[in-house]
Amino acid sequence: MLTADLKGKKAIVTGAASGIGLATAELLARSGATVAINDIARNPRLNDEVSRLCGEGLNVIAAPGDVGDGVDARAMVTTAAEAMGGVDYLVNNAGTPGTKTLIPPSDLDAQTEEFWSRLLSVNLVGPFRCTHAAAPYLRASKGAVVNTASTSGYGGGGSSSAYSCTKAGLINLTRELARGLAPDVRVNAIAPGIVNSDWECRFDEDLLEGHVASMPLQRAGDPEDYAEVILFLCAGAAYVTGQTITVDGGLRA
Amino acid sequence: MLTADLKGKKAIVTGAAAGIGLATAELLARSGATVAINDIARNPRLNDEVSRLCREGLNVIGAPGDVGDGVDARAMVTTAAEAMGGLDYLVNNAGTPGTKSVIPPSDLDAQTEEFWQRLLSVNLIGPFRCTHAAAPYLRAAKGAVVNTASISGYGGGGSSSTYACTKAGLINLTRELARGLAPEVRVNAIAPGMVNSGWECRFDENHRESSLKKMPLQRAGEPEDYAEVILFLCAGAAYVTGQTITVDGGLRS
Repeated sequence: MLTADLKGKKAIVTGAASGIGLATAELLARSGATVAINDIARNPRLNDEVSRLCGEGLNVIAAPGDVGDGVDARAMVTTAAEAMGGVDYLVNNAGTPGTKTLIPPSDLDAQTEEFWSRLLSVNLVGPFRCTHAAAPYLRASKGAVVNTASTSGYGGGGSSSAYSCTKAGLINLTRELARGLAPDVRVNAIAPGIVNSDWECRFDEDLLEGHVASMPLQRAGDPEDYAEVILFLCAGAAYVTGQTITVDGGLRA
Repeated sequence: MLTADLKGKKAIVTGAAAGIGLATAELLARSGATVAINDIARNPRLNDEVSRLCREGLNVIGAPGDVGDGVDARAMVTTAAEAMGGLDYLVNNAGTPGTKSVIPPSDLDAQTEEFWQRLLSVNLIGPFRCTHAAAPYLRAAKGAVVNTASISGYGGGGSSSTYACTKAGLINLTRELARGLAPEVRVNAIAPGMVNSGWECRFDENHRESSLKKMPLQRAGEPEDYAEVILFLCAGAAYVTGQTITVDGGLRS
């Protein structure tokens, strides 16, 4: 287990009312950082989690907003940055499968124009918007950006073909932004495999068990496993930029 | 800067009398681990560095041996593991360019049978030999292996075509060993770019400067930059295996 002293650092974590985002916000806050916890305003868990962490004496604030909306996303970042007095770390974790069950690649009908537009807007343009709004703060602090991509972005399937393509785009956006914000700001990503959390899209149990059986580490990853890699990319990794670290228990090894 | 409490942990770092290996051995030792520092027996820096770190009160021992020799490599690992009473982390960092100046890909003549054999034996089979000898200890400790590959292993050039091929092999050996030692032991690698250290092979200054100019982070990496990533792969990264992390200041992004 790695630790870091983040006293005086400020972070924004999007999509952080649960799962990897929440575990990351919590780890950064427990390491001493002030953390703005973002999720969509209508998600009741956002205020619940902020209250819980505040109750423990951690420095967290709520930053409601939809990263899938250009005006809302930018306003959310600017408001949070101004409230905290700067930004050192932006974790673009918000993403959506846009479906409650897996859409096989053969089902092109299910992937409508609206479906594509929503997934691209949240999963790919969302991180661009938030990074754009955060850039002046990040440049000033010589900070870092971490994006949550997905192993589906490398091919081999995810909740839908559209989803996989948004994540492939995010892996490449990570490289583009690494060039765009250098040398002041590092930009990296993680590509999670199977996550032990209540994701909006449920996978078939047989499929999950087959994956776990063929995976070297033979278990799903806990949100804390992913959060630690994000901590490394924020607070360590001084010579790492433009990279996407696959965190999948060896599934694709 | 990340920190870890490695009290009670035992590590072997090969090729550790200088550069990335030495920085890694020092970081692990300063984090509380007992570290066996390997290099070839005739390298006078080995004893100098071991003495220096011992005088500072760190728990380090000398572990001389040539990873390019099957008998010597295995004996070195077993002797060090028995002396320390086990092994948690094996860092296969030893490697050789086998040349004092860059051999261009067009110069096939310079890459003789002997050159190929020596580089393959040190850079590729060496990590296999050490991991093989260390496997029972690592399995018992649920430990980790980290290999030092190179971005030349992804193509684009290095000190020679031969060298680049040995490192490509090491990137794939990392995946194979991740499967082979799972689920108890994680196996990962780093792929360094430019390193600020006295490497055996000198690059042309013009080449160096043009690489720096197109690199997002615009500097060569310090041995400490690489050591921190190796610390992360040893002591954190619980759900990461089979991966090679590119640490190149964004050169290939």
